[in-house]
Order: sequence, then C-alpha cells, then structure tokens
Amino acid sequence: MSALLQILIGAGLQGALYALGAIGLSLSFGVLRIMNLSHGDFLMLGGLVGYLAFVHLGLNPFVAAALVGGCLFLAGIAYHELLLTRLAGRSPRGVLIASVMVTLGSALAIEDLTAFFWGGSSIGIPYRLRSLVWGDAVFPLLRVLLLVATLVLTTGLYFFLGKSFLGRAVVASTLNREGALVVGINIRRIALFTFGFGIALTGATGVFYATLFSIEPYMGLGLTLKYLAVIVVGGIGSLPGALVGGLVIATAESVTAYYLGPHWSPMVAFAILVAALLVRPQGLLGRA
Amino acid sequence: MSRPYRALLTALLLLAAATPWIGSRYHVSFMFFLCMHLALTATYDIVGGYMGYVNLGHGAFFGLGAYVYGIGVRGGVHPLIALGLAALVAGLVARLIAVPVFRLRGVYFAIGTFGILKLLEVLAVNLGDVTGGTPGLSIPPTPSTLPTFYLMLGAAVAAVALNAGVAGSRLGLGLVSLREDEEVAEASGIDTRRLKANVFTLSALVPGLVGGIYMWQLTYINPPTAFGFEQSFAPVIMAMLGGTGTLAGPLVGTIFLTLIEEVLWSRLGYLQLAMYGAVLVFVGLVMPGGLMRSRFFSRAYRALALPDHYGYRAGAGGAR
Amino acid sequence: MLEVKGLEALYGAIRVLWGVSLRIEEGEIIALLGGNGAGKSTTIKSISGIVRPAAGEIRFLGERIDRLPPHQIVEAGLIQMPEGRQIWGDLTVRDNLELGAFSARARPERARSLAWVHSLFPVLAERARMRAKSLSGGQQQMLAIARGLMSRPRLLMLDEPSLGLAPQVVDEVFETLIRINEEGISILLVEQNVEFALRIADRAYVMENGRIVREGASDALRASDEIRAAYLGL
Repeated sequence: MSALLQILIGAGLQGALYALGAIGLSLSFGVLRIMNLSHGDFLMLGGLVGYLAFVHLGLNPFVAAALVGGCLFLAGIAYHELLLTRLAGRSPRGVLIASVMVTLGSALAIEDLTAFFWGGSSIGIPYRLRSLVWGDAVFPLLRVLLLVATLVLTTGLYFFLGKSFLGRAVVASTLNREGALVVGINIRRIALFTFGFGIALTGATGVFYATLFSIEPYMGLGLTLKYLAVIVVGGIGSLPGALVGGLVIATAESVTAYYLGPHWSPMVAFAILVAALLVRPQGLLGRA
Repeated sequence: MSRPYRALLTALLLLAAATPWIGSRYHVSFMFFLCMHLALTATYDIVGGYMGYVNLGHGAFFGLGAYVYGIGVRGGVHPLIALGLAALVAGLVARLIAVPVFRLRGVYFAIGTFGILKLLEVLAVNLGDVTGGTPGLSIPPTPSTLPTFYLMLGAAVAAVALNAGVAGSRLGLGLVSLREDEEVAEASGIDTRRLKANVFTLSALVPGLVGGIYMWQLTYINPPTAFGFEQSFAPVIMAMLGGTGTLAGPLVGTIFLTLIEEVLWSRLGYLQLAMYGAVLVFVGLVMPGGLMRSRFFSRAYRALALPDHYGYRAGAGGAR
Repeated sequence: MLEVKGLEALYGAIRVLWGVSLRIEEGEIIALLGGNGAGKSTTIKSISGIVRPAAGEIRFLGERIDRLPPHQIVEAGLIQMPEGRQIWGDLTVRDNLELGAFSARARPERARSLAWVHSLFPVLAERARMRAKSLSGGQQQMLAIARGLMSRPRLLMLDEPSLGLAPQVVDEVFETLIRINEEGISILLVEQNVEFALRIADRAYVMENGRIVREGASDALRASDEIRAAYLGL
C-alpha cells in the first residue's frame, strides 16, 4: 500500500514538473498557432544556464530559476522576432509547415551546437536538501518545494489569465482571433509576450530538471514530444489541462515503471500521444 | 522530358554504375550512401510532397526493413528472400497503420508519425530477445560489396522512377488535388481514404528494401541508427531543400546535402546535425518551396529549359 | 469622415476588390448592399485593417489608415462588428463587454460605456454573468453590437447584423441602430436585407463582383424598379 502511495505522490510531483514545462508550449500553440518543436531545447538551455549560475555564481536553483526565467524571456522574444514573425503573413497551412521547419531546424541546430561547445555529457546541479519522513513514505524536501513552487506559479498564472485585463486579452486572442482584433487587442504584441513567457517558464523548469535529474544536449526533441503528449491529453490551450495532462502522463509512467520495469516508461508518453491524437485530439479539457 | 536531359541522366547513371571500377572504396561508399538517401528522399516525397502529408516517421520503414532482414538472415533465410521480406513487412506495417494514422491532418499527422517513430525505437530497445536491444543486431559479413552497391543503386533508380511515375500519372493528379483541398477532392469523387492508404503503403516498400540492403552491407543495426535522424529527418530536409512535390527537387536536395555532409564529416567531424538544422531554418524562412521553386534561380532554370516541375508554375506546391 | 478611394484587395492571388470608392459624412447612416460574394465584407475588413489592401487610399478623420494594423484603427475610433459576430462564447456576457473597452481610448470610459450599453440592451445586464453562448441568436447580436459600442466608436461598421435573425428581432436591432446614430455615431451597414437597410440608411452603395455599381440616396434607390427587380428575389 505504501509503495503505491509513494508512487502516486512521486507521480504527482513529476506531473507538476511536466505541467510547468508544457504550459509554454500550450500557450504558444493556442495563441500563435505555432507548433514550437524547439521547446524542449529551451528547457535544456535553461538547465545549462542554471548549472552555470550554480557553479560560477553560487546561486541556488530557485534563485537561478528566476534569473533563467528572465533571460529566457528575452531570448524567447528575440527568437520569435528573428525567426517566427516573418511567417505571419503566410496562409494558415504555410505558417504551420514553415513553423515546423523553422522550429525543428532550430532544435537540431541548438542541440548540435550545444554538444559541440559544451561536450556531449550530461550534467546535473548537485544541490540537495534533506528528506521528510512521514510514516513509511519518504519525501525529498527539494521535490516538495518544487511542487509548491509549481502550484504557486500555476495558480498565479491562472489568476492572471482570468482576472487581469492583459491576461484576459491573451485568453480572448486564443479563443477568437478576429474578435480580439476588432476590440483593438494588439495581437502581435500579445503573441510576443505569450511566447516569451512560455519560453521563460520552460527555461525555469529546466533548472529544476537539472537539479532533480540531469540534462544532456540531445534531450530536447524527445522532451518536446513528451510535452506534446501532456498538452494533447490535457487539452491544448487549457491551463488546468496542462496540469491534468502532466499528472496523467507521470502516473502512467510511474505505474509502468513499477509493473513492467523502468525501461518501458519512455514509451508511455509516446504511446499516449499517438493514442490521444487518434481518439480525442482536443484533449480532456480542451476545445476542438 | 527533353532529349538532352534524358541523355544527361543516362550518362550520370552509367557513371554511377561504373564507380566500383573507376573509383576508390571511398567513392563506392559515398555513392552507396548517396543512393540510400536518394531512395529515402524520393519515396518520402510521394507522400510528403505530392500528397502534402509530412511523414516524419518515414524512417520507420527503413528501420523495420533493416531489422527484418537481420532477423531473417540470422534465422537462416537467404539474403534475397530476406530483402523481399524486409520490403514486404514495411509495406504491411504501412498498410496497417494507414487507417488510424490518416485520421490526423496537418501538424498532428507530422507529430503523430514522429511519435510512432519514437515508439518503434523504444520497442526496438525493449524487445531485446528479438532485436538485440540497445547493443543492436549483428549478422555475418559478406565478402564483396558489389551486390549491395548495385542493389542500392537499383533501389535509388526504382525510387526515382516511382516518384516520376506517380507524378505523371492520374494517381499523382489525385494526390495533388488532395493536397490542395482534401474536401474538394473527396467531393470530386476521389476515394481519399483508399488513395492515402495505397500511396502510403507504396512509399514504404523501397525504404524497407533499402533498410535490408543497408543491413546486408553494414551487418549491424541498433535502435538509434534504425530509427534515427539520418533515416527520418534527413530525407525530409533534403526533399524540402530541393523542393517538395517536384521531380528534380529530391534529387537536387539529396545531392546537395549529402555532399555538404560528407565535407563536414571529413573536415570537421561534427556539426552535421547543426548544418541540417540551419538548412531547414533557412528553407522555412526564405524558400519554403525549395530550390527548384526559388525565384532566385527561376531565371536560370528557364534559360536551361529545365523540365517543368509537377505542380504549379505560379508558386509553391508543397508549402505555401 | 471616412473616405475610401480606389480600394483593391486580394485573397491570395485572386483579386476581389476592383477600385472601390465610397465616402461617409459625419452623422450619416450608409448602407453597403449587394449579393453574396459581391465584396462587401472584404471592403469592411480592408477598412478595419483585418485584410491588408493591395492598393488604394483610406482616410478616417483626415488621417490615412490603410496601412495601419487593426488595433491602431480601433484606437482612432473606427470599430467593426464582424460578420458572424465573433463573440467569445465561453466567456461571460460581462467579460465580452469589458473586453470591448480594451483600447486605450475606451478603457477609462468603461463604466460609463457599460451603463449606456445596459440601458440600450437591458437583457445584457440581466444576463451579465452567463456564458455568451447561452444567449439566443438575437441576444448574441445585441452583445456583438454592444461590444462594438464599448469601444467608443465614432464610426461603427456592422457586417450583416440581421443575419439569421427573426424579423421581429431585426426590427429591434435596426431601431437600436437609429438610436445609436442619434447619439452621434456614424454607421456603415453591410446588409443583404435590402428592405431594412434602405429604411434606416441615408445613402447606399450597391456592390457587384468587387465593384460599386450604383450609389444614391436610399429613397431614390428604394423607388428604383431596377433595384426592386434585382433584389426582390434575394
């Protein structure tokens, strides 16, 4: 019993981490209709910068995450301006194909260049806190703090999107683009801001990733695919959907690892992605 | 196709066929891989270019073919029969997954096929008893490289011929109309479901064969090689660089990129992936229609009276 | 107030507008008529900036607006109520209205605009907290118009406001438009419902195949046998 509980709680923590990383992808596809395949690579870069901050500046992961978030926000906006804004004038199908090309190409380039300059080995941030023990279950404090941070961020984002004027403009742009245009919403600026924010969030997640696990240069594309699974399951464009999706994937992975062995768990996310695309592409909480 | 170009292509083909006698081992090896890329790219383009469905999982057929050949030979099957099996299994798998996978459109299709590719890779790792798992699968080596060289050359010719054959036929017309507007194509009486499934299966046969030939020659396969970048993304990028949905596009793109990759490999040893990535970004931003449709070169094409690509004169076919 | 000269627009490679010219004086109600595919919607969208004109000049209150992005045109006070309403079905009525006052010019007046809009359309006040998609067709139309009013228009362009509405509701809509006009807002009305449009408009333009083929005072057009014959069958 306690083993199962431990698994579920672990899945909860993992799911929150997935959700945090996936939110940016969901927003960027929802608002901009751009499928950013290089999303996972920004997580990797964030983790890298976080590692450097830890090693050279002595910043703990939480502070580093904030710093990385700021840097990657700017990087995300620059990336969008340089590469993606040019695509805006094309037909819907043209934008889709071109954004796949550009973001996929960027992903490959980022991964290979990082490996070239950094070396192909994986790195991790050696930051450890003690563990909390409660009955039979063991909770690493670090993970708990991360869960709290994730929940705080997600709730904050949820309220921002729901209550603030700017937030509601973002949501409105996702729901009906033409409606947003006729009320005077500057879609281009909103798109830029949303994209940058999504990248920032992913980068911050990368720092946590580097602390909990490790990062290596070529992890990006596989990770993007996993995040796609998260948002497809939960519903593209839905914030609570990202949480639900993250939870579903993490639980499925944990359960698979427990009953079938850990080498099967990488497959789970891909299998769920394919299945979800076929059965219910709009996800559990999303609109079509 | 006009006479001088037919003559040129025949001459090139004869030259390629003569490589084992007039070139070094290095040249033979280069031509082998060039033909492999060409075969994969030309068959990818049937589905990706003429039909407009970006199949990021095209390499799966290659991987399946390689493994089937390896398993077959280890099981005592004659190499030629094993090759046939490789192609057959690839085609069968394509036929099986065609129905569910074509329920997806656009970017979802691309992601879905990519997901299937990754899925197969993990399966290959985990079904170690059959596939040899992460360490991979080995078979005894062959004494001579000649048969595989000509087989690969043949596969490349077959792929290009298939591509050209589809392009010029009613089948090709159906594909292009499907790409441009699927609903309209359906309304015009085209059985899109059958068309998609058949063409998909057709495009899988040669890659399966190529996978088998690869395995015959290199005698070793492992999951990242079978289902990796080289076999899945590289053909896509080559087709996109050259111009999807055109006759010459896959040819031009393959030759161009294989040459660059070879130069990078021999000079630097790194950054091929980055090169491919940069090419893809460049094409996506500046030339989504590929080299064959670029306005920059169009005057040169007209001057050379290059054969008209199948598709539009007015603009892009694969990506608009 | 609004001057359009030689407007041309493309959808991809296809030309849909061929040198459209029209003008609206302050305080007028102008109707833009024509059958399906005549180019009325495209004209409106080109003015509001959603579609980029290929050629031509558009001046609003003396300033050129034809190359501006939509949000700047909204700031100037040129508001469009788009075809098919394009309201946010999943958001509440109140949210829809508040978003209408997004522009910098309209935002400080939000409370006042809301009160005004509620007085014009009491049903929107009643259903403020309900999801917009739960409203009836006519009510959604009111919502769309009200949202446009929240943007504090000087000129309001409406694209087919009577589409899909019962005749009684259409009456109400048009009465409201007259009231709005009396408050000083100029109106450009795109309509297939020629009868009603000509009843409230001062002048009208008739479009066909991307061109203006007739223009004149609405009384004159209504009396014209030609128009009656052409559009009675619509």
